Amino acid sequence: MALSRPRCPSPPPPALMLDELVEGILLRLHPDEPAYLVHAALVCKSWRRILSDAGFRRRYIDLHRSPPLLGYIHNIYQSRTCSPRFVSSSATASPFSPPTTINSWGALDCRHGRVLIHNKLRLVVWDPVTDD
Amino acid sequence: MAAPESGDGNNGAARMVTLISSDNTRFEVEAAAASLSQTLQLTILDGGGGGGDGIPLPNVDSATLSKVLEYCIKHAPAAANGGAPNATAVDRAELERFDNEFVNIDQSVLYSLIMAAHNLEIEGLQSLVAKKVADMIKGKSPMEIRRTLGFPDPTPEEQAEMNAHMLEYGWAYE
Repeated sequence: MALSRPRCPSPPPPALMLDELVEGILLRLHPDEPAYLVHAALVCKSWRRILSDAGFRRRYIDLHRSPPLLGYIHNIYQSRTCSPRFVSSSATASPFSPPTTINSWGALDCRHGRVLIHNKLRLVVWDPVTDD
Repeated sequence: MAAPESGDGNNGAARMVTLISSDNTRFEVEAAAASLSQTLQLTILDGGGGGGDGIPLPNVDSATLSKVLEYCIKHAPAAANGGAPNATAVDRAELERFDNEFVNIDQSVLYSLIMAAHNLEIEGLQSLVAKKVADMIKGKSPMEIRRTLGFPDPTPEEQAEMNAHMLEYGWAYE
C-alpha cells in the first residue's frame, strides 16, 4: 500500500500520513460535539479534504447510527408575540438562530433538520444549517 | 511468551504459529490469537507459520509485535466466540479495563501500534488505537491538535488559512 502524498506543507508524523488512518481517528470524534469536527477540519488541508468527503459522511453516519441532537426549537412568548429560539444541547455555542425578521412567528414542527414556522398568514420552512 | 510444543490441536494442545519481527525475533503464539490479524489468517489457515517455518513481518519490530500479540492473546477467546455474544458483564468489563490500560502508552508506541494494526488488519486494535487518538484531540483547538499529535509548526500560509477559518467558524470557539 503506497503512502499518500503529503499534501500539508508541514507534514504530519508518518502514522498520520495515510488518509484511511486519519479517517479512522476522525470517525471516532463523537457527534454530540460537532465543534470537534470543525476543529479537526482546521488542522490541515488533508484533514479538511478527508472530512468533507461524501464517503466520510456516509461512514460517520453508519458508525454513529443516528444523527446527533444539536438542540431544539423553543417558542418564546413575550408581550403577546411569539418567536422561536434555538436551544443548544451541546456545550459549544450554537451557530443557529432564527432570522430576526421572523418575530411573531411560532415553530410548528421539525423534520429532517428543517423547521416549519408560521404566523397567521404564512407558513415558512427554515433550514437552520443554511439559514435559508 | 509461553512456547509449548507446536501441534495441530492433538491432545488438547492449541496449534502454535511463529511470527518473525523485522529485527528477527521469533514469537510463538496460538494460531487463534494470530488469526485476529486478517492479513495472517489466510496464511495460517493454509498451514503456514507452523513447525520450523515462521511468518516474517518485515514492517513490525519486536517491541511493537510483542505489544500487538499481548492484545491478540487477550482478545482471542472473545473473538473465538464470535464477538462474545455469551460473554458475561464481568468478562466485558475486564476486556474494557484491559483496553483502557493497554493504550495508556507513549505516543511513539501508539503510533507504531496504529501502523501495525493497519498492516496486520486487526480490526479491534485499529478501532482501539483510533479511539485513543480521537480522545487525545477532542476539545482541543486546531493548533493544540497539531502540537498534541506532533505536527511541525504550521507555515505562515497555513497559519493564515487557519486564522481565516477560525473567524468563519467562530461559534465553535465560544
